[in-house]
Amino acid sequence: MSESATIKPLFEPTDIFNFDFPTPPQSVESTLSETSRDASNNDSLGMDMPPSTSVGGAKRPERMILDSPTPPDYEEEPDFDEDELALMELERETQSLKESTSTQANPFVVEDNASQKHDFSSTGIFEGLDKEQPVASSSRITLTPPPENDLMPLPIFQSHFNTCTLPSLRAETMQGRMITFKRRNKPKPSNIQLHAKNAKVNAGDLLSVPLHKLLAEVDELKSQQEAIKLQQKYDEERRLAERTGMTVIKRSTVMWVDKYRPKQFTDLLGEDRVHRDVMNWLKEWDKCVFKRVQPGKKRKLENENENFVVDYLGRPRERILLLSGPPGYGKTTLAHVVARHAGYKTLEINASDDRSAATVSTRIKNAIDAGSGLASDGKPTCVIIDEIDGASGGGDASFVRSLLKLIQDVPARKKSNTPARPLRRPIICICNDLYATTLRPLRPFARVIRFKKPQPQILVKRLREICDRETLSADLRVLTTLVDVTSGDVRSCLNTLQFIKSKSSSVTDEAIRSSSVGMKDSGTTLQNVWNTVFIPLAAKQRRKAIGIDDGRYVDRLSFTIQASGEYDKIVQGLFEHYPNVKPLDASLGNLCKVHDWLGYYDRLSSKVSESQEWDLMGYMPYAITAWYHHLAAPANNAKPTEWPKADYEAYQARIANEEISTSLKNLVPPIIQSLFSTSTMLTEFIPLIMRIISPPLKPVNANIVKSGERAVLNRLVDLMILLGLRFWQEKGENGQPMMRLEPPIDVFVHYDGKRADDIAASRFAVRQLVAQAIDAEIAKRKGAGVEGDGTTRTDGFAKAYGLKGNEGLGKKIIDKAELPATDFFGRTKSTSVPLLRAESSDQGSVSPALPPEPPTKKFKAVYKFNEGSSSAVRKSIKMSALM
Amino acid sequence: MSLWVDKYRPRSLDELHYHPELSSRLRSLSASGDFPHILFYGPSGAGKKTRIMATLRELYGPGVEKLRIDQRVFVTPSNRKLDVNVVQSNYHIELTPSDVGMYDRVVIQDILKEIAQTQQVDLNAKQRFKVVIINEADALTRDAQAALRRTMEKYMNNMRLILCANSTSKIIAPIRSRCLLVRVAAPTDDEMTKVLQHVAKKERFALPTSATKSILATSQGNLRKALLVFEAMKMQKPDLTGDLEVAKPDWETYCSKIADSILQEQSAQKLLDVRGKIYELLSHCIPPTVVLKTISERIVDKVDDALKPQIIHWAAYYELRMRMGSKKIFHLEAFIAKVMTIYKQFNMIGYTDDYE
Repeated sequence: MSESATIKPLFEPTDIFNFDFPTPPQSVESTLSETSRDASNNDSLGMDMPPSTSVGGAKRPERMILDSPTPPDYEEEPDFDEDELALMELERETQSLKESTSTQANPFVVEDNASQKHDFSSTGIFEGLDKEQPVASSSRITLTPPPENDLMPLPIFQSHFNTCTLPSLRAETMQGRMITFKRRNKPKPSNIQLHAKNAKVNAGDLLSVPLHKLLAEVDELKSQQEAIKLQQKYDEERRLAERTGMTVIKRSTVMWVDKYRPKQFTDLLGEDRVHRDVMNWLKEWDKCVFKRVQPGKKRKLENENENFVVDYLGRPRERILLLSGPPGYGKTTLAHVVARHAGYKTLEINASDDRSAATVSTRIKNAIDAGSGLASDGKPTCVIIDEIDGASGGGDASFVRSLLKLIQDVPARKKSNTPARPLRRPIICICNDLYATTLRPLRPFARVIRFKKPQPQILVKRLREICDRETLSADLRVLTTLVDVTSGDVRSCLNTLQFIKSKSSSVTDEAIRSSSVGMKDSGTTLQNVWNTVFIPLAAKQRRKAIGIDDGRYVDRLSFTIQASGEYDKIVQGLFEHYPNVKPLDASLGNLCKVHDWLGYYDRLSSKVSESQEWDLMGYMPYAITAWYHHLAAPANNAKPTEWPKADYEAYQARIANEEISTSLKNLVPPIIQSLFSTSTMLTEFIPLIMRIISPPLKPVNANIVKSGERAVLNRLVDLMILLGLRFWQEKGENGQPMMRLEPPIDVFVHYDGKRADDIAASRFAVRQLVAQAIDAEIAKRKGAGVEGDGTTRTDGFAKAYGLKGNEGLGKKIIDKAELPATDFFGRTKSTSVPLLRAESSDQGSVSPALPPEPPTKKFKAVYKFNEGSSSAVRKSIKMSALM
Repeated sequence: MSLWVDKYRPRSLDELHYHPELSSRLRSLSASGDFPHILFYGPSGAGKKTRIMATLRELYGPGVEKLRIDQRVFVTPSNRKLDVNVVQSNYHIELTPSDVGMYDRVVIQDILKEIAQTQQVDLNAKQRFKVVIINEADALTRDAQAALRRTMEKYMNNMRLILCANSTSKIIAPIRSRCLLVRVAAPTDDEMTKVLQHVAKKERFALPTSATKSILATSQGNLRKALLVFEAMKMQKPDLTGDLEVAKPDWETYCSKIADSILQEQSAQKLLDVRGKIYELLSHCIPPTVVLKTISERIVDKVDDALKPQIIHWAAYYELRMRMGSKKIFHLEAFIAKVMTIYKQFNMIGYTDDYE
């Protein structure tokens, strides 16, 4: 009996709590009505409260009846494992819970709720508040144990009775059998605490604070909360307003260019052919990169293979792609789209990156070698080098050079035996100026694809779509104008439209006209500038171009000229071309006008360059612009301006000739140098000297020259020795031996490639004769010179002597032996030039000789080998040598 | 044995063939011991240099004839190295600023300071000062001339300047005022004939008058050139008889060709043709001013008298423009275009007064 008595109450709280949890809010009112029913019901939380058992006990059978189907479980399977049993119990209870909640708002529920409420509202204080003030009581509600806390005690304790605070459960079946559920040992300290707390609350039946104060507090709390709520509401509204404002700004910061950038291959603007070319090239890499061959291309590739060596990795012949075209035509976009389309991850290197040789090895190589990294989603990398024409630096260590090494599989170190890692990934380069000097080494190894202007119709259509989407009203005509103005630059078009959109909601002709935004300040080619000056706008163009009637050409031209910036080149080109253009009037009046402007320009430019008066630079384009008025004509279209080169050629020729005259000037004796200044040297001395040294001599053997001619010959030899002029034998272009004058001042008597009439053609035999005579004379003088008779003539003489020493002797050692001799006469410098020339030009005649030592009078035999002569070795001994 | 130009060059003031009064003045100047800075000016080939050398000989004795060439290196402000050959003796040094182009100021300053700050080393020297000769002083840039002016006063003790120029117009006034101006006029035809005869006599042959005349005609008061032409003629035709062809510098012949083609046809095509010829001249290092001058002279020779002043006017105009600008060819061609216009107008509608 005692057992059953203990069991019954133990069932109670579990049930109550089970019902308690899913308390529907609507039941609150009913609970209120019944709150008074039993104040002690809250005690049911405590398990050892006998009074509550009566209530609980009364209910329990009812519940048991309700879930009548379950009890048999208890009977039939008493030996169930405790855990399982507990589970079953749980299930059963939840089931019953559902049923009870769904089917009926039964009195139990009401009652339970009421009992629960009584936990805290038993004081009666909150009776009125309960309904409308859930917030205030919320803290207490949380005190009600969560369902698991209540369920947990349910399972039977099985062991460690001492540790468990609760006795085992006992139940009586319908048949009257008793079942004992042992409690599981699972102490719940929180539970205990809870109970303690509840006990406390219960203990506070009497208020420490007077009721009116509490009420006042509650009022205050209420008003505070009201205020907080209002504040929150206000804040919320403001934040919302701000956020919407933010989003408006954010949306407008997205550039249309980025917003409407083509994402797919089919979206691309411009020539399909170009796109397909790029795609084809990239697809050619498939064999190397993806190890697959395009089936469609196979035959074509084979055909090509006949022409070039197959790459062992199956790479395309040009391992680099060079896209070139003006800005805004979509090169970068194309590269990215195509690369993505072909299954690559892109690595872009543009002008914002450091572009040195190191970049190639670090960034590009790493990206290519690393293959599929984590970031690449397993895709191979395609390197896109944007704006490569801006890559700085020339020489070996430049970016382009090292890129070239990379694509040519040149090993990093020259001596290393390990072959370089071959390039296995495509590289796409993008440039504006295909002919930039930095790109010169790259061009032969690249497949060059040029961009053309996208077709205006397509572009206009696209612009129209964008305008529609941006709710910017624009008609086709206006958009066509825009496309014309920007010369097909999509980026510029979009930027202009976006700019206009920021001001108004419709694009008008005026808007475009007034905004010079659309006019991009791009560099123009020189050819373009020349054409602009010489060729007036065609009527059609004139209509199209914005607001230009051809009478007002100044702005248009000066803009173009300024954009180019290379004034000197422009003027040079114009200058060299203008006599070819049509509208030179018969009186040549416009010619003089043009020349006035040219002179004006030249004065400006020399002022700028000489005294750095850069202010004047601003006027220079106008000096060029003025040509238009005098020379522009439609017919000039037929004769395009050629690249100016006459001036540079003349300049180079002049430099070369100046070199010759300088070398002569260094050879002649000082008094001549002093008598003739540089200019008179050129205008008087050289032309006349050329006549003086070409007397009409007959080509005969030196020994049988007539006395009259002998005198002339002697004089000639004297002069030539004096002036340091020599004849050197060398082979001409046709293999004929010829005697060349050294230094070659005869260029100064050759105009238009022809020799002057009054100079007799100097024949080979004559020159040879003279050369021999000079040799002989020098040798003779040397002998005489040893005796030391040089007074006023010392200079020329000594030079001759020095020259002699270098002239006949081929070997360097002998030269060295000879050099002190020249020092003896104090003339070393001027001989250095002929010395070098002698060595270089003197291949035909080898004349070994004993090294003469001037101070100790030694005789020397001169052997001279004459090419093509039957007497191969000629030995000439001077009389002076024998005496 | 040397070129006649050098061989028969008068070595002392006494040997000079003409301008005796000038010679006596130079003699007294060098004897006075108060030798000033001198600016010799006069046309090319008149004998300035000869007089300078003779004066130096008068000052220092025959030692000045012992010339040597020194190679000097100057460093420009932009750290460029300039190699300049300087002709000098123990007593004097010669500079030719045109050799160094726009860097003449550096060279002038360096050399002048160096000379001015060292005393005459040779104790036997007759003068305490050294002499600096500046050839083609009119080619000195304004900067270089400005650099000269103070140095000229400051280092008067150790140094005298002798400037040699064709015209004083390009020498700035401060320098002109610091110098004694000595004009060496071109020799008259008689004087030149005298010199040529002298040379012929020394060379022991007779000079026919016809040859003399043709030499005088081509050299136009330039004795140096006359002697060169003379020697060339003698070399080419040793007997100097019969139909003599006067040796003429090729560029002069070419200039007359240009003049001919200008007058032959006036059209843009011809202009292009002439331009090629002018480039040819310029590439042969003929100075543009000389080209302009020669061409205009040849044209003046050939056109109607009424046109001559105009052509000279325009030649002067375009030469001025050429000096102010930097691209010589522009102005040369402008001149030719102008001449063509004038000539064409003259042929079509007669003389018009076109000076503007």
